[in-house]
Amino acid sequence: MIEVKNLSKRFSKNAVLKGINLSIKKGEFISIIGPNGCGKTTLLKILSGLDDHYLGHIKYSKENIRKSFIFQNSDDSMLPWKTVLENTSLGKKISSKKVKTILQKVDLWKFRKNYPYELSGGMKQLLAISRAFVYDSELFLLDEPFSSLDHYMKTNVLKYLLEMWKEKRPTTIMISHNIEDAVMMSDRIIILSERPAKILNIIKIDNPRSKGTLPHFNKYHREVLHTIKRGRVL
Amino acid sequence: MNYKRVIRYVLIPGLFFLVGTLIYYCKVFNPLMFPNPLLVGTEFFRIIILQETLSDMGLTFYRVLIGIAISLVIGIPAGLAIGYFKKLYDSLEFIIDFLRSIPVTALFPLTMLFFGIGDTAKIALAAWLTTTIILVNTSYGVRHLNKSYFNMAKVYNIPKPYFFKNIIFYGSLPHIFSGIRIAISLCIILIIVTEMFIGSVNGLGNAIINAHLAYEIPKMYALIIITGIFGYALNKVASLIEKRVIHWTKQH
Ligand SMILES: Nc1ncnc2c1ncn2[C@@H]1O[C@H](COP(=O)(O)OP(=O)(O)OP(=O)(O)O)[C@@H](O)[C@H]1O
Ligand SMILES: [Mg+2]
Repeated sequence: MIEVKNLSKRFSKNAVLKGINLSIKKGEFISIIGPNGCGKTTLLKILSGLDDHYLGHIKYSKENIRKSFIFQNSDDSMLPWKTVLENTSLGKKISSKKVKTILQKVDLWKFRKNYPYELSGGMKQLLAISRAFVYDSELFLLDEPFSSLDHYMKTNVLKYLLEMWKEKRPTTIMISHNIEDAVMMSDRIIILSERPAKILNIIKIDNPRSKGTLPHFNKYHREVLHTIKRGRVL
Repeated sequence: MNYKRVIRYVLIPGLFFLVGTLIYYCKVFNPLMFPNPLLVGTEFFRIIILQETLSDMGLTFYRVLIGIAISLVIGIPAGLAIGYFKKLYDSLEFIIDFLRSIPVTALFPLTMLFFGIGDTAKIALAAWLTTTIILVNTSYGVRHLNKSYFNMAKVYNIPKPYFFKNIIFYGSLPHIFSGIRIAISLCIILIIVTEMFIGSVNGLGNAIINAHLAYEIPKMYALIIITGIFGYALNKVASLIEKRVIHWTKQH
């Protein structure tokens, strides 16, 4: 779906990404892990087409891929002057039943007539998540999508995301600082180094998203941690 | 809470009245120039009760309103276009900055040449002035829109009509409204001036100058106060509308 060759990026003097090579298959779930400020968000913005100031080549399997993007700062994905309901569909033709189902799933239905500034940080993130899910997108770009959710809600949303994902299989790239989430959800985990980000390791999960395989889970968890530690020493 | 209002609307104005009275009785100024505030007060209420200035006020209001209305109809769409299309902005920035730098009063003779001395001339001047203000504020609003809205519209491939109406236009509303407030204040100033000096037979400006020419100084003071109240009321209405429309910028 996306072919990245020798991608580099700098902000004036600072190199942020250095020689990233990556091939993402259609229907793949990829997680990106890396230290603060290493360039994860930058990479995601480049992949989404929002930032085209880079060196290297990116090839997409088709044009006009339908995308959903959950921005790291949820204020970046909503219009302050629109209600929760309007912010979910953003002027696109989406069945109101679908919107309702999703907003009910994340407990926002009773706030549908409220404005974003009347929501808490976590609720705003849920609104951004609802928006991302309501479209039939082929490519999901998620920048720490669950960072402000409480434990119960996160479990719920994760379950919902997995259900939706198994049904439609959209290509998904998720940035996360949560190793457990990454191991539980992904086909592959990409671990980035400190800035300028290089790929330290790509961990492929055999038998991904299978439940109740704790030893298996622990093995990958250890491997990710090990790579991160090695990256800090380097 | 109410005592704050008493201070603001009764005590402080009352203090001004007292100081005025003091100035009058100490004869700081010639009493012909600075009449007894009590006399001004009586004039004020006489004018209000006899509704003497109602038609003048109505006409001034009408001129201000038409001027503002024209500026909204022209200034907002033009400002949105100039703010959004960078090429348009780059080509027009200089000429707009230049045109709005011409003091509008310098255009009096020119306007009279084209429109004579009737209502059209006054309204044309007012519309010219306010349109430049609204246009510049609107385009500023568009250019300073948060980049995240553009990012969002791009990734989600938002339909163009929705994008222009609900993102570009709505997003610029706070700046459009501050333009409207400035425009109203300046428009009142301009209309009053034209009513005084461009052959008028009516309007608040004309009433003030007539009182002056007839040497009815207390009446002139009363009319100035009435004009002040008129301007205050217009600004108040504008800011009430603004508060209702732009609910999302208030910080809690
Ligand atoms: N617009 C910009 N101008 C200059 N430097 C920038 C800009 N945006 C990001 N950077 C720099 O690029 C680097 C990578 O930023 P990025 O937001 O991609 O980090 P990140 O990996 O997402 O970090 P975090 O985990 O904290 O979200 C940072 O060092 C940051 O200072
Ligand atoms: Mg980030």
